[in-house]
Amino acid sequence: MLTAFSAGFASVFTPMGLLAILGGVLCGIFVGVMPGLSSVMGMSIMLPVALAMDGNMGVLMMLGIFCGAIYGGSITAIMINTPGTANSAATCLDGYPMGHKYHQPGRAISISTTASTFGGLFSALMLLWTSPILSNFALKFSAQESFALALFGISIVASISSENVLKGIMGALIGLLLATVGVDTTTGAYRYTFDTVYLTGGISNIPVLIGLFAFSQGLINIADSYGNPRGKVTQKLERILPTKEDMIYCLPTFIRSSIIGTIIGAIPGTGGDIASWVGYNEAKRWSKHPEKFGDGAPDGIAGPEAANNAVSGGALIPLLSLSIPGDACTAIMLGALMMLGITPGPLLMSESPDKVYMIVIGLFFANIFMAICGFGGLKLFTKIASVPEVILNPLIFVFCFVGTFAVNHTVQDIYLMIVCGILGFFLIKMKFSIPPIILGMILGGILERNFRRSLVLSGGDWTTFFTRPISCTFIIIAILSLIYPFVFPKIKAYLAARREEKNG
Amino acid sequence: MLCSGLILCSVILLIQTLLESRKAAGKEEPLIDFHSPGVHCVFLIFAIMIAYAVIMSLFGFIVATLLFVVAVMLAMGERRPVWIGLTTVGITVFIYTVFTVIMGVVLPQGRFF
Repeated sequence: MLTAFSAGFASVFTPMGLLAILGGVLCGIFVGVMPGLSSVMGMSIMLPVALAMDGNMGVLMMLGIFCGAIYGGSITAIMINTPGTANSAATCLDGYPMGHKYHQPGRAISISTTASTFGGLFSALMLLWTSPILSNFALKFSAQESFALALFGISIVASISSENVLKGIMGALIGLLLATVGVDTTTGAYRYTFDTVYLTGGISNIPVLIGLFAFSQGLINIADSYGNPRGKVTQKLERILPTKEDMIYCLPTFIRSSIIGTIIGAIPGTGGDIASWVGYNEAKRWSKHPEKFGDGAPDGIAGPEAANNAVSGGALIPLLSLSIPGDACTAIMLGALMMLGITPGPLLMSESPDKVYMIVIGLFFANIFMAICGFGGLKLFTKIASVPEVILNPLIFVFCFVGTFAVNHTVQDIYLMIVCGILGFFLIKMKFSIPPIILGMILGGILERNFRRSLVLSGGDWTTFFTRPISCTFIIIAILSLIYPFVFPKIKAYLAARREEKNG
Repeated sequence: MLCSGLILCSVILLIQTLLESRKAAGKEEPLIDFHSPGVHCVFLIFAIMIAYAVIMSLFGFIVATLLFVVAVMLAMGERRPVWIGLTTVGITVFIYTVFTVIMGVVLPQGRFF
């Protein structure tokens, strides 16, 4: 284990490795700071760049973007009351009043930077601790369990991510359908290829990813911001480093929110936005001065920020040990890892532990760089938020075009990306959520392969999924998660009606 | 099987929407407001995209991108020529540096260039 650890450390601690992380963090913070550019969008836009790099460097850069983007959102939340990403919506509540009512934006950002770093480091530590345990447990998994886990991942995301469960399920089905295109790996049959050479290899993930996440988001930005430009940063920062009193005052919140964030991150289907709201509410509940919340309370900034950055490590736990991505960001991470030749899953820990440790150590460094960039480059980042949309959106579009092209060097990919982007625009506008589509598409292959393998193993007996305890449990949870949103309101109404009958 | 699932879900969603719309008729705002200027702008950009794809296959990446950025900025309501010029050149040079010089990607060539 120690040799693997040092091997992992050695691959991170090279000039190129550190540079890749630093570059990733800077990109991530930039993406996070810009309202309208989400962390998912940043990761999908930068994915082609990461793929062009040497394997390990690409992974490290993606980690940097992942961490930086979650943190960057808080800067805009504090400065202009617009969360840079959905993860920082809760930070607005107290960060903006502290910045504007009490004229201490520097203090607010220093707290959020410290909280983010603390949360990130804490969750990286948790990842280091738990993933070997989970991997050991997962080594007993066979094809049936892998199928059940993939099904579990898709269904949880489908049931949580959209307001309407039906739309979530439909998204997942669209994703699964996209995954079926191409030559069938087991029988060699051509599926949905319409006699074209382009579709024979299947629909590649990257054009769809970039189209649905980045391109469509650019279109939405245009539609929403047309005629009403964003607010500009007018405040001046008075300080950058946090004070000792603030740190001591917020320390319990840091720890509590980090634990909350790590756990929420590890649950598939939940992400930074949920974690930050839970972190905020818990900070308020435990605070000695709950009346100050909403009016610039320091722990009201620390709570959500520590929680949403702790998600980064938490979300990697199921990803690395079970190869189940918890949200859209980790789904892209999974795609990136697989394309860079690292297949996450129970076997990763036993076959190439150095890769696991490289990722964990990379996460540590990403958080440290995040703190350095946060404290050092803050003035620059607040200026970045004032880049007008007119320049930003064409840049996004062109980046999407070139990025898509750069991966496979086919122009058809660009056409596919444009089509996906336009579809994505309508889907998002009609309140469908995109993560189920992507998860369905990425997990579709795993799902199908393991389904067939387990049927071959059992000789065509489909009860094999239910006779094994672990796979049975996961399938039942998966089915429950889909039925629950339909049944739960009915049960609630029924119970309320009965109570009324008794009372009246 | 997946297809049938998708169709089933759409039917349920349709029924759900119909039931709800009968309850709250005309109160809700439409999800896509086809008359807002923002959406019109997006439709304009769809058209620009198609033109972009055609131009790129004919004249290559650089020419197409230069025209594309100008068109998108005009569509978004920017009218200052200096701004448009600087951004266009800036974006194209930036992309060219990142992808061709640093990453060594050969950008799409056109039929005429």
